[in-house]
Amino acid sequence: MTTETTGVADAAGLRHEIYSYSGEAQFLTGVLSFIDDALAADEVVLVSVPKDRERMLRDELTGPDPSVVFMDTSALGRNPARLIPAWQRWISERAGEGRPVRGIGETDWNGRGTAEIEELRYHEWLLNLAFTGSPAWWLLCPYDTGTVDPEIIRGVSRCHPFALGDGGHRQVPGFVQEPFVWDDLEPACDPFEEFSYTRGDLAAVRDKVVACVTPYGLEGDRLRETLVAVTEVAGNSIAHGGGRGTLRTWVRQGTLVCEFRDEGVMSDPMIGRRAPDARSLHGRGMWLVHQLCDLVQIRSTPETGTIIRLHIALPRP
Amino acid sequence: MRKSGVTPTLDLVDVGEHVCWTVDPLQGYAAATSAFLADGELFGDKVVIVGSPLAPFPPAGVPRDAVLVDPRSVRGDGPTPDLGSMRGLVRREADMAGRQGYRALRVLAVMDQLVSPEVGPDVLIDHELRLDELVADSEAIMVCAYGRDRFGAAILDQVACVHPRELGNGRSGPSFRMFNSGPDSWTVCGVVDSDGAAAFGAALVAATALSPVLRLRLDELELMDAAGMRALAETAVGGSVRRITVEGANPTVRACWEMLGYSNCEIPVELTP
Repeated sequence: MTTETTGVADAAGLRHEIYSYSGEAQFLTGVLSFIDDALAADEVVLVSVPKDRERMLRDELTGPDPSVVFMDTSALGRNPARLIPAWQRWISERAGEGRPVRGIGETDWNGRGTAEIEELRYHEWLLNLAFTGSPAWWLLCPYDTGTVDPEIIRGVSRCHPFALGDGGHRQVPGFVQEPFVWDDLEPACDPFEEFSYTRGDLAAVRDKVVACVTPYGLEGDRLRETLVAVTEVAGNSIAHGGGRGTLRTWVRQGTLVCEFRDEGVMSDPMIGRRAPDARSLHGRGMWLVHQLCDLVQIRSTPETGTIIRLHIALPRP
Repeated sequence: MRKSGVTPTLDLVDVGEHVCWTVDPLQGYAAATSAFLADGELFGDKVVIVGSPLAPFPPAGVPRDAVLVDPRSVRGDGPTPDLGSMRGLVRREADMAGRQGYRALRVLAVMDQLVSPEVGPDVLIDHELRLDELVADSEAIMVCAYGRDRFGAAILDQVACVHPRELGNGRSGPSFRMFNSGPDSWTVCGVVDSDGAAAFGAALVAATALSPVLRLRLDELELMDAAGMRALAETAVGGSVRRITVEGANPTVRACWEMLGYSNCEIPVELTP
């Protein structure tokens, strides 16, 4: 497999490249060529792939090479919002070495629900914004056409300015970073509980959530983490969303969903996805929410206000 | 370990307790305080009333030797009340009560007559926190009576946070309480969220003014949100504090502190199990 570009240092920011492959052999062909090219150019390769893919790559690589680093993604959980800050951290940790960086990022799509898939698609779109102005680096995103829904691949393909295929690495003709178009949120699960809150009601908001999850056995640290997250979001409504909001809670397929609606607008597409800045102690609430929840959906426009859904996996019965 | 939380009656308060009493205008002072003041005689306490809530007719049971202190003599004539003189009065009377053979000092302070709500919650929090340290370290019982109409719910919610006890019933009371638990040591219990973060920050500032090295006991703290943690971080990086040691925080509090990145900043806060 040939490459049109052999180094990452010829452009600023992220070179974001999709690799649609079919089967293990094709995965290895494309990814190993990417790694070989990187090593030939004295670049570091950070690899974040599912465990089975990691094993395959480790078997193929000839001995441990300090320039190929397999990232431990276990602490990231399933929330796609934690991926960009993780890449930013990994890249900055390597930046001190002075060598260009490549990344390989494949997501485990098994068992993902509609909401998670939508957030993963958003993550791919957001990558192009998140690294604007960053040191140059190159991220290859493999997608297995044999296991991932073709509709998903069509969607995420529109988020990648570059592609790796039979003809090598190429720029996608006519690619433009279009505004992200969300699918409609899934309807609230009926029956749901609804509660309107305002200043002084944060304890009542927590009580409502506790009442919702108590029959499902959510307790201890995970319950406290959930309550911190709902407190943050309800507090945001009160402070920035018109002084009040509405909470809906329901449980669907083993997941608690807490939906908050208010009149505020969150215009920053990266909200909660930037690691806290040591120079400022402010603005960390939504970051904390993303760290505590299994999934966070944010929909916000001046016309509709803000809807935030927090997803918390409940204990298996 | 000092008691904390809501008490339905003043009959149950004990030496070392510091009680916030939000006085309902329909309730008045006399009914709730008569037993409290009468208990002074029963237990052999010296009774001091700062203010004149009992006029024109003192309720039955007020000890004949109760000391009535004119609030004007405490607050001074300046535009800003001298609440330090109030604490000085309590300190002197507590010392004197011991020498005079009393079991303890029993104080009812009618805050309506001592201070105007215009001083703002931070001044009141500072005063009450300092007073709490004094009461915790003295043979004293302190009841601070705030008129609901005069001070309003927003200020009273914040003032109640720095009283370990509160006269009331049911689920009333602030989301958290911070009170003295030994030399340079303060216990925080309940929930510190964005509703209470301003009061928490003011209480921390007041505590750090008393000692540059603090211990915060969080064994009874259920959770603290980002606003509460920011208040802690801001207090630690500003002012005169040298170190804040946080002890007994549950795993969620410790994890959130880490997630928020404060453990990586040069903030003199150390969380220990």
